Amino acid sequence: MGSFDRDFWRQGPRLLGHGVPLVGVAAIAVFNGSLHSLVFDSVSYSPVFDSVSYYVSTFARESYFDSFVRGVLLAGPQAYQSLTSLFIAAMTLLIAGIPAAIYERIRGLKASTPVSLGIWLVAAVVLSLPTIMKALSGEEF
Amino acid sequence: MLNANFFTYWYLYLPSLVLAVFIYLLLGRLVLSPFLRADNTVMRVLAAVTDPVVRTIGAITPRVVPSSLVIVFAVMWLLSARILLHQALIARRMFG
Repeated sequence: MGSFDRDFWRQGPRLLGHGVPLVGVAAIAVFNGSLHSLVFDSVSYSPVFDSVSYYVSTFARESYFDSFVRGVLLAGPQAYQSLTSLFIAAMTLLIAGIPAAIYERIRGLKASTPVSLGIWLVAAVVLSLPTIMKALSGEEF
Repeated sequence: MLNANFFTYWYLYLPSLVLAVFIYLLLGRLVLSPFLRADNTVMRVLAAVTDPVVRTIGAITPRVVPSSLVIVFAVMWLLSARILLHQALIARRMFG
């Protein structure tokens, strides 16, 4: 058995245990933020999209961000829509990580385990449930 | 964001300014870290000032997240806090 095969079989379960939940969390966060709208035409937006869009755009309009997007000719509703998508996706990732972090601290773990990453994934799914239900019911923007 | 309302709503503007300062310091630390060594004076000052924030955010972040990404997470948390403060300011201006 070559070194590649040995490494694969030694690292394989660890890669599966860590990689799959992490990719899952990232995919769920992207879905909740409707970032895939940059690629696909019709997507389901999160029920909180409009309110978050209002918060983000009113904040951005009074900050340097607005001057920046106007300066580089990116101004327009699309810029703020993408910013809102990015913000929802990032906050899904961050908020969903809190239960996993608390679990790791309570158990006194020095590194993340497949269980803690599974908690992160479940929390991300729970946070994205309204968007998932909307997508399953066929509501599209 | 410093305007005529600053002294009326200082209790909302001041925390927002402090958060903005921390965001810029964290971004500075993130941008400079690939170019400057950890024992460089600038990096040591940046690390000393921003470490309490990074450690706090690190406590609510899974350990699999690398330390440089924790800084990005900290920026995002502070940014969302600033957005919430901004909404509180708008509400205060509208409803008194």
